[in-house]
Order: sequence, then C-alpha cells, then structure tokens
Amino acid sequence: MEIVVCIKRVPASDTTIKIAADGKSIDPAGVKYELNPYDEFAIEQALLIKEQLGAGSVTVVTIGSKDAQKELRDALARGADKAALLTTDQWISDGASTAAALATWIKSQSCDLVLCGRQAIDSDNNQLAPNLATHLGFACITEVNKLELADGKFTAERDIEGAREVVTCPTPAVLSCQKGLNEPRYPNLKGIMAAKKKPLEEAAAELPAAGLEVVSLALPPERAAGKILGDGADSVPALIDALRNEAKVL
Amino acid sequence: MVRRIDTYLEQLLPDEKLAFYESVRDFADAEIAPHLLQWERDHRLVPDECIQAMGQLGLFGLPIPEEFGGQGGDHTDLVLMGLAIGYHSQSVAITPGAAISLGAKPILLCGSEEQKKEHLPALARGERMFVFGLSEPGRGSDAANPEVTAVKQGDKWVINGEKCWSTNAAWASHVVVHALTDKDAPNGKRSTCFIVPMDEKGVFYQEMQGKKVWEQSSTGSIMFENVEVPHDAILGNENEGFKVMVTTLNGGRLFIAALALASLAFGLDKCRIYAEEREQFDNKPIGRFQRVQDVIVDMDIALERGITWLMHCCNLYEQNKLAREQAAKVKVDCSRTASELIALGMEICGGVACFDEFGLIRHHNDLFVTRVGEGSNFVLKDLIVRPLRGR
Ligand SMILES: Cc1cc2nc3c(=O)[nH]c(=O)nc-3n(C[C@H](O)[C@H](O)[C@H](O)COP(=O)(O)OP(=O)(O)OC[C@H]3O[C@@H](n4cnc5c(N)ncnc54)[C@H](O)[C@@H]3O)c2cc1C
Repeated sequence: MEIVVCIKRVPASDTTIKIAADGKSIDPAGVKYELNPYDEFAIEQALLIKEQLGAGSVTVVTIGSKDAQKELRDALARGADKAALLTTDQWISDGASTAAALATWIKSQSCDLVLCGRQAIDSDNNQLAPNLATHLGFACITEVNKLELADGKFTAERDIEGAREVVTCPTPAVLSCQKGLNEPRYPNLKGIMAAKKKPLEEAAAELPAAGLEVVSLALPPERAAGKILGDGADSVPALIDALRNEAKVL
Repeated sequence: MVRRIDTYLEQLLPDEKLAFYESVRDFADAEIAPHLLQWERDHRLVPDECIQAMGQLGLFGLPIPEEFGGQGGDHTDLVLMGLAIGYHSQSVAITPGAAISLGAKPILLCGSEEQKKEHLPALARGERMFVFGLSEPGRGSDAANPEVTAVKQGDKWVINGEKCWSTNAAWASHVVVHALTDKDAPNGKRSTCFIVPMDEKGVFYQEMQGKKVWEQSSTGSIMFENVEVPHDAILGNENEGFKVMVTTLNGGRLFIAALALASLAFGLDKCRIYAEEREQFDNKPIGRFQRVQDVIVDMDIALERGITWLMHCCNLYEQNKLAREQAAKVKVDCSRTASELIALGMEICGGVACFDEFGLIRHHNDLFVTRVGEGSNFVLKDLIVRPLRGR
C-alpha cells in the first residue's frame, strides 16, 4: 500500500505566544517549533500498516518553510521512506488552500491511503482530512482512535458524543488520527543516520488564492482571580448558590 | 521553556547528533521523569519495563557496530545519552551508560572476534549486561593489584575472591573479573581479565544495601568461590588485564563528566525558574537579588564551559587522540564544579530544596558519585600532574 502522511511544523504547545506588530499573526521570535503531536500518530500508523503488509511505502509531505525539513527528517528517522517539502514563505490560515495544494501534489503520486493528524494544534482548523478526501474522491474517516486493516478494508473506531462508533471503508481513503490510536515510536540513532540518506524532494507549493483572511488575533483574557466563599461545611450552601446562580453549572 | 543546555548543544552539534539528543531527551521527559519520584519513594531499582524501553530505543547498543546488531554510533552519542537522561536521573542514565562504557566497551576494544560475535548482539539489544569487576573491598584506587586471584589448573582457571561496587550487577549476565595472575610481575602486568557468567557455579551476587546515591542504579557485591572458567574466557591477553581496565576507563570518564553536567543543567533551569517565581520582600521575585543571580550566573558559565570542553574531548576521543589526563581533567572539573554549584543552587532556593519533589537533592546526592566513581578526583590528579613534572 502506498501511504502519504501529511504533517505540519507547529509552535510547541508549551511556547508562550506573542502577537506580532501587525495584530494578525504570531511573533516568530523565540518560538520553539515541533512536529504537530497528532501527526505523530499518523506517522506511526503508516509505519504499522507498512510493517503489517510487509510491502508498500510511506511518504511524508508538508507545506512550509525550509525549516520544516527538520520535522520531515524526524519522520524519515522513524522509518518513512521518502519526504516532500512543498515550500512557501506564507503563513497559511486558510485550511482549504492547504488541502488544495496537498491534493494537487498527492494526485501526482501513486497513493492508496492518506493519513493526517486530527488537527494541527496551531490553527485548530480540523479541516484537512474531509477537504482532501473531497479533492481526491477518497473515502474519509476522521478522528480515528482504533484501526484495523483486513482484506483491503479498514475498520475504524471513533469516539462520538456518548458512544463509540465503528465504521468501515475501502481504499483509497483519507484517515485523520486521534490520540490513543497507537504509541508513537521515538527515532533511534540508526534511524536518524539512515534518514540523512533518504530522498527529500522540494517543490513550490501550488497554493490557490486564499478564500479566507485572518483579520485580527487577540490573546485570551487573563483569568480572573478565584473566590474564597468560606471555610468548612458551613460554606457549602454558599458554594451551591454560587455554582447555581453565578456560574450556572448546576 | 528552552533548556539552557539545549541552547549550547544546538551550537555545538551537527544536525544528526542534535536529533539523536532530542529524541532521547523527549523519551526521558515522557517515559522516565514522570515516574522518578515514585521509584525513589518505593526504593526501586530501574524497573524492567524502563530497561526494555531503553533497549527498544537502541540505547544499549549505541557505539556497537551495525554488523553486531548495534546502532553504529560513536562515543559522543553515548555522552549525549548521558546528558539527555542524566538531566532527570543519573541513576537511570548510568544503567545503559555503564552497560556500554564499562560493559560492552571492554569487549569492543579488547575482545576476540569470537567474543564479539558471541556477546555484542545480545548486549546491543540490552538482553545481556556485563559488569565491570575492577573494585574490591580492599582495592579501590589501588586497582592494579587485585586481591581476587585466578590460578591456572590444567586447561582451566580457578577464580577466588570478592568484587564490590559493581554497577548493574542485578541485571548482569556476565562479569568481567580483573584478577591477580602473576604477583611477581611488574606493577600493571600482574593481572588478567576473565569473562565469567553470573550463573556459573560458585558466583554469588548480593545488592549492596544502604546506598543513598544513584538510588535506582544497581550496585552489587559479587563473590567468587572456586569458580572455574576455560582459557578462552580471558579478555585481552594474559597478564594484560590492567590495560583492558585502563583503556575502558578513559571513555567512561567522559560519560561521568556528562552526568555531572546533566545534573548541573537541571539545577540551573530549576534555580533560574524558581528565582523568578518565588517572591520575598515587597512581593517581588528573589531573582532580583544580585547574590541570587550570582549563583545562577556561575552555574550558567560552568555549564557552557563544561559542555564545550566535553564536546572537544569527545572529538579527540573519536580521533583516538584523547590523552588519559585529558579525560581525567574534564571529569575532575565537571564533577567538582557541578557538585559545589548545586549546593549553592539549593541554598538560593531555600527550604524547598530539602524535598525530594523539588529534584535538587537527588542531583546533589548523585553528584557525589561523579567525584569518586571511575577514579576518585584526588587520585586522578596524580595522573594529571604527570605531564607537568617532566621537563
Ligand atoms: C555508586 C558507585 C558505583 C561504582 N561502580 C563501579 C563498577 O561498576 N565497577 C568498579 O570496578 N568500581 C565501581 N565503583 C568503585 C569506584 O571506582 C571506587 O569507589 C573508586 O575507584 C575509589 O575507590 P574507593 O572508594 O575504594 O576509595 P579508596 O581507594 O579507599 O580511596 C579513598 C580516598 O582516599 C584518597 N586517595 C586514595 N589514594 C590516593 C592517592 N594515591 N592520592 C591521593 N589521594 C588518594 C582519595 O580521596 C579517595 O577518594 C563504583 C563506586 C560507586 C560509589
């Protein structure tokens, strides 16, 4: 099975975000980047499927700046066979543009399965998988947290509100991966050395004109200080009253 | 928070070395750091699952060539592993660390082809572990003259005596025993090294009790009572056992320096963050006091200097150009400086530093081992002074 995994370099979850002077982008100074955590599940799943079948290939692709080579090499070190960097200097905020550019590139490849993370933790759009599937005419299952492959058919489990749903689909397909799907491996030294020699092609990303524009960005308001209602059992009625009438959660 | 040590390593390391360091760092952050406190409070040695996970990551086979099932790396990779894991726990780091630098290295450096083929693949997977049997109850610094003896009887050797301070003894499959074989020969040519299986008849192991440093690391005493081994159990050449031990220790000292710097790196980050969080007098951070800053600045200077120096020594080691006194110097200085500074670091944090949760006391205690282990600092100065006294 020929598998393409779409990955993204994102600001690390513990980075302190500052807003740039233009008021609509983040200030890149001092920001630490990492591989989008959900994409780690996608890479791992691709490797597991390849190992299960004992055949096929895993290609990782990203749209981004040259710096994203680091995340592609990381995926190669874990065991992916080749990588592609679709270059752009733009900060893309339009999920539809990303999907269109990736779909254009994937169509030029032989591909039976596309895996991606359920969302990128920077823009949190959750749009890539369904958008890609539409462009490619593939089946699509989102937020997969258990996956089996038998007789060329996928059986996936996903958590929906209050229940677990089991769905099946044939190839070709686009699947987005949720936490819990697998335990991503760490790149080992041998893999890191081997990754140096694996192909990493670069091409300009074919991005359509954006249909969406970020108008402004603002940091969330500072959390208000907590409130102490009293001490011991006597304060319980006041607490219940506050939960019911102020916080309106009871 | 970007660790200070990462900033320096990014400048010093080529891309693949940095990627390897980051991978082990992320592994240690996720798989080791969250459990350490519990392991400590339960007085547990490194749990089997953790050893297996380190084995899967290839950490036991770092400098073992790929033809023997290893990762094909070099000594620098071993040192980087020490920095990445030692940041949280020296005792976890020393487990694969000693398994390689004291366990697999003697075989790699001095073993015959058959010995390499027989042992290296299982050592690389972490399924087998070798103990370095140099120290004895009565022979610490004076290691060239072991009290453990090996006597030739026909085509066999018979070993008697006791080794102690044996790191990794709890998990060991074999021990490399440094034994007296020719007491009348000149100093340094009196001993021979033997590879002895831990399950051989007459070998008894006991964990040394009451150790308050490297608490998750196994330290054993091993008794030999008329243990018989064949002639081909000899590692290196007959009566050249001390050479095997000394060759091994050169690289081992770089690893000990790495552990000292890893503890210093942890201490620096802990202190600089705490100094900004802790408020005293007018509700302002203690980090504004110059005497507090002084300690933090000294830790930072010592870390950058130590890391730069250690990487320089690693480069020399890879080129086979590292003199014994150079390995000794970096070990002496990093261990001494880090342990002096960690005590001051604890002082600027105050009472909170007395608690295990805060993490500094663990590094403080572990840093003591780096001053004594693999050659006590005072003894190593004898080595360092040699080239200074010639003309
Ligand atoms: C946790 C731990 C793990 C260890 N693991 C191993 C292991 O795996 N394998 C192994 O073989 N050993 C191991 N060791 C032993 C270690 O190498 C010895 O502790 C070390 O060599 C010092 O020996 P000693 O403790 O017997 O000190 P001694 O030799 O008794 O010396 C005591 C002190 O006297 C002073 N001194 C002695 N001789 C001189 C001199 N010539 N000049 C100046 N001062 C001197 C020094 O200050 C020295 O610290 C380990 C030790 C520890 C603490």
